[in-house]
Amino acid sequence: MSVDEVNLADIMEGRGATYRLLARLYREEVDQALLDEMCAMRYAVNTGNEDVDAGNRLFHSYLSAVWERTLTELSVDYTRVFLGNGVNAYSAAYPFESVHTSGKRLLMQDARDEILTIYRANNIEKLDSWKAGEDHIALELEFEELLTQRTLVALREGCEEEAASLLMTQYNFLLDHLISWTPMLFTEMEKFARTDFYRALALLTHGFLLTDRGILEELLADELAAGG
Amino acid sequence: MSRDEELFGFNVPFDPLDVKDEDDEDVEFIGLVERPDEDEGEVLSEPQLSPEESIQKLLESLPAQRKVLLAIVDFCREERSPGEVDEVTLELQKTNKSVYTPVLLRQMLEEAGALVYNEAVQPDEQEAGIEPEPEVEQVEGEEIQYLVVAKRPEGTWLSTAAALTIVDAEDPALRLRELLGVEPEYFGIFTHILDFCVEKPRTKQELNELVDDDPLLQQPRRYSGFFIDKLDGCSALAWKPGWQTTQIGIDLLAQLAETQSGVSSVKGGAPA
Repeated sequence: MSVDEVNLADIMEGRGATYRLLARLYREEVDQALLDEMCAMRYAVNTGNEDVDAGNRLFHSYLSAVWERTLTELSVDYTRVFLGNGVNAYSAAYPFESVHTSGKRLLMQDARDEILTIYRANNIEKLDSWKAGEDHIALELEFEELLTQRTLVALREGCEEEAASLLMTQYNFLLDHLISWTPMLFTEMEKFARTDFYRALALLTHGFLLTDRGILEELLADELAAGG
Repeated sequence: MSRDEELFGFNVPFDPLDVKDEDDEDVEFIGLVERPDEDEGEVLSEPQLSPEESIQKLLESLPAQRKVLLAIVDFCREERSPGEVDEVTLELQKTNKSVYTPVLLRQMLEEAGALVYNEAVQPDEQEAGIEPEPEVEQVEGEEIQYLVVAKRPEGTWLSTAAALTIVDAEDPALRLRELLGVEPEYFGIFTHILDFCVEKPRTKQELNELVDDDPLLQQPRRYSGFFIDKLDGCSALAWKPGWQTTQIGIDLLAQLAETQSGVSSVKGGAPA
């Protein structure tokens, strides 16, 4: 690995926190506690990634106008963007990989089976309370967060090989899954969203995933070079 | 070529390879997986209503919330903060449990033209028509700048003239008389409850025992809550705690007693 370990822990914590926040935003509607938390956050605007900067600017402007109806407005927009009216397969930005990678935009297709295999290979099972498919973007983001936390533990315990292996799993998952299908989701989010909040979420997620790919490529430079 | 051949196209050679399977990739799916049109289609416009009509429409559509809605309008004769209106609304909802939050009630009132929200804008900014600059934070030793979310100054709610006209014209005594006239078969039940609650506040259980077994309430089945809601909506009953007849209800009972001792024309109908 080419980055010193002190920085590495900070990087892992930052990545984990971002994945956790994004997963939460996709998983369900914003509640008062999350809204308060987001209003107390700072939004970076010259990160070098245009989408991250644009997303953060939109989040900032939207959250600066928060008032008594914001929660309801966000709840309505979440439903409109991710659930839709259910009339057809184009009624919303369905947040499942299968929908965007199967010809007929159906749920529970090959992508979900692949995802399930990867989760099980990493000894991860979804909670019984989660009734939707495992290829929901919230679970895919949470998977990355979970592996980031495991990486952090491995680093603290001095298990560099284990940490590198975990990072490689994250990198492969990012490339093979999250980055491969989410651009289509983000385009549809832009189309269905009526609030800047969910437009910002699409931009920020897109920018962050690309940035994270860059980070992982830097961290795994030796391993990737050795792998050809 | 015979007539049959022309009608059914028997002269066209059948090619089994030309028959497309439903699972073919190039099949255009319609119905469940149809792509939506880009435009959202024609939107039927609703008839334009005056503010008074819109407010009346809202009140009629939510009869159980009428009292609360009017009380909010009455409270907002002066500019009130959202917190103040919340407090009053929640107090009213103690005896009027509802799925409608104070925020949602205000939204409905605003959409009907009964309330307006006045933003708290600094006069100099308002005059200049400028947006305040966002606060930017620069962390020492970092190149990245951060935007800090500023809390939006809290505005105030104010009732419109149209809404206040309706509140001022509100006559609970008249509404009570109308109620008794609209459902004359229950006249005796309404007055029985009012009479029972004059002396002291009564519990729901006491009122259940008072009327629930009445033969009149068996078909269609009614319970005391049905009558309490309506009398409460006319301000003839109030929660103290315990339901007690208000002055409006007492006045009506007195009027009925006078009528019965005089001409005795009131029998199962509303007083004149």
